[in-house]
Amino acid sequence: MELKLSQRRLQELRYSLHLLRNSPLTVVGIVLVIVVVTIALLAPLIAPYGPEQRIWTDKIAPPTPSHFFGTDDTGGDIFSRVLYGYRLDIAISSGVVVVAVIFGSVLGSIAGFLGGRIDEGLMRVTDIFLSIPSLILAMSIAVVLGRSVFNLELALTVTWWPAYARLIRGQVIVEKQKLYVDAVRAYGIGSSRILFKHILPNSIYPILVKTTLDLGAAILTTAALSFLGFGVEPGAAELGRMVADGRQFVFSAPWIVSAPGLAIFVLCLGFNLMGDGLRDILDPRLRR
Amino acid sequence: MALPKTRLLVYILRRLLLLIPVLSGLLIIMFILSNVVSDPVNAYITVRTSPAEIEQIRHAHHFDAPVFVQFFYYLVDVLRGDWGLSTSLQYEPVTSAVVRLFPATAELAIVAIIIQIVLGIPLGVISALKKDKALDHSSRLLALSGSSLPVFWLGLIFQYVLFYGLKSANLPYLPSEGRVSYSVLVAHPLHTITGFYLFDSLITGNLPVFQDALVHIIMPAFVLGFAGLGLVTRITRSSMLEVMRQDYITSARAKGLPERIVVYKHALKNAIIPTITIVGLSFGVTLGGAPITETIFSWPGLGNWAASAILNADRAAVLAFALVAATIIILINLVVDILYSLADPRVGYA
Repeated sequence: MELKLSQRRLQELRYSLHLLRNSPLTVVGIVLVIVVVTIALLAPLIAPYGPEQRIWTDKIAPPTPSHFFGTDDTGGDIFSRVLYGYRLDIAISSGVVVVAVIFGSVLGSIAGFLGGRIDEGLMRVTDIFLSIPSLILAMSIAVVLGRSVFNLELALTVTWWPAYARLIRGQVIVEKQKLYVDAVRAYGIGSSRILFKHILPNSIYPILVKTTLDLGAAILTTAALSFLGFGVEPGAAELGRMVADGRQFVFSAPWIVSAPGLAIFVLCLGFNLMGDGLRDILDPRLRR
Repeated sequence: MALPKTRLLVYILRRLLLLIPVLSGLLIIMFILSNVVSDPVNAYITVRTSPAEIEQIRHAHHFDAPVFVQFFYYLVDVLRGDWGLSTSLQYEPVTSAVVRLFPATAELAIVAIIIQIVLGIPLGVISALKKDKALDHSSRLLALSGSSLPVFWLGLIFQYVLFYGLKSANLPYLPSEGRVSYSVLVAHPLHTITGFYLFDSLITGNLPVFQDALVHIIMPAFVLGFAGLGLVTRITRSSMLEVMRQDYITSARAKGLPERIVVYKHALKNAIIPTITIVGLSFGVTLGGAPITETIFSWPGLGNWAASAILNADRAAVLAFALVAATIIILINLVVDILYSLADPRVGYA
């Protein structure tokens, strides 16, 4: 008895949730991500101080109840700056990943669907991009464009889209061979509708996994570039930048660099646990 | 019917030919970044160059010609070794800087890869053999932190614990900066042949410098290799698990072979193959971490130069670093591909 599409999708969702319950680390990851994103969104409400607020009398103070993570060398409250830093970093990374996914998916699906020379061309182009380490490619674009947050996002997006293009292209090619495409075509439905309404929804699992993992990687790269001095101004409340600014005090006042670094680690760990778990849950070979 | 050796040669030649489009593409991207998006003449002038001279230089390098002509002369310049002047190094020619700084980065990267192989493969094998036990979980945690920890933070932690912490406790500590101590170098001058301090000091029998250089390279190499270490461990583990499930392992056991031989002689040889690919791939990840690691440990290499070049808008330096790094990675991928097809007889030089 054939179930309706919506009923089948619901069943799959329930099975996924069941698998999720057996994977505690994935749940930990999801919880971490939700917690961090929530406090980042609520930063203006919960941060005791502003990100640029300086209390000149309280410089380089170790953690106390009034300053949970201590203060840095200009008197800024590190706890508040970490919260605002989360905000900025999450905003930058999600922007980068969303644009890269959309751009890469469009190009990849067109190339995969049409095949032939367009496909070859896309493969060559992505090959080249993928042979350059992402940080180095981002550095090159960044140095040429000049320092600004927008250029940072642009550089990272250019670095990120090729992997998605290849992923989607692979998925589209596999799906294209399947019988249901011939069946749908026999109804006389046009190519682009086949692509968007039938092929793409079935390719969504790997995209989901990769996006989750990439959100973590994007945050690491953003922080790395900011640490090296690109993107935000010195003194800005950005997690990588805070580590760079506090580096000279690493031995005398280690809390200045440990808090932002730990913050990055916690968030990335969350994304990685979540992505790894999703990968295992959504792997069609392990289901059923 | 061609001999196997000839077939191998043909395969290698074919792979080498595939290099051409990838390298051309790389050069096109570098060209766009250096000539199209920004003014290329900035890589050839100093603050003292007069406007008339600037125009002369612009014309001499064909920067005023149409894009295709420019690209041709760009290729000529790259091959000739004329990559501009590095503003962050007092206008030292970029190629000379690359040659000078290359050994430091190469040595660091090689030691990092060695650490990944020597620690990662055994760890992966044991994790597979003792699946879901404590060691397996720890190695999973290690791999996870490798991709979640910011490299710069890891480096700072290591410095704090192994340098500052040990030093404050009056215990023997690891140095946190540079390749070698100035005092040691002065007392035992090193005759540099290759620029690889570990190699040169061994060859010339300069043991104090060798020891000192070794002690200096441990921390940065470990930090640099950390992300890749997790990757190598995981891939070795999953590859071992895959192999151990195969029929030929069961039949080897059924033959009554001791477990040790089953693992090392049969399983490992086959499980190693994907690891070769991963080590090659992790070279890219490793080189990508070079700018940050070298900055933290004040390592005088290409990465450090490129990192400070960003702050000084020294485009020629960053693009040179990118070109060198990408070319090396492309070549390493080629070598890995060939090794892979040699090692796995199922891959019939396709």
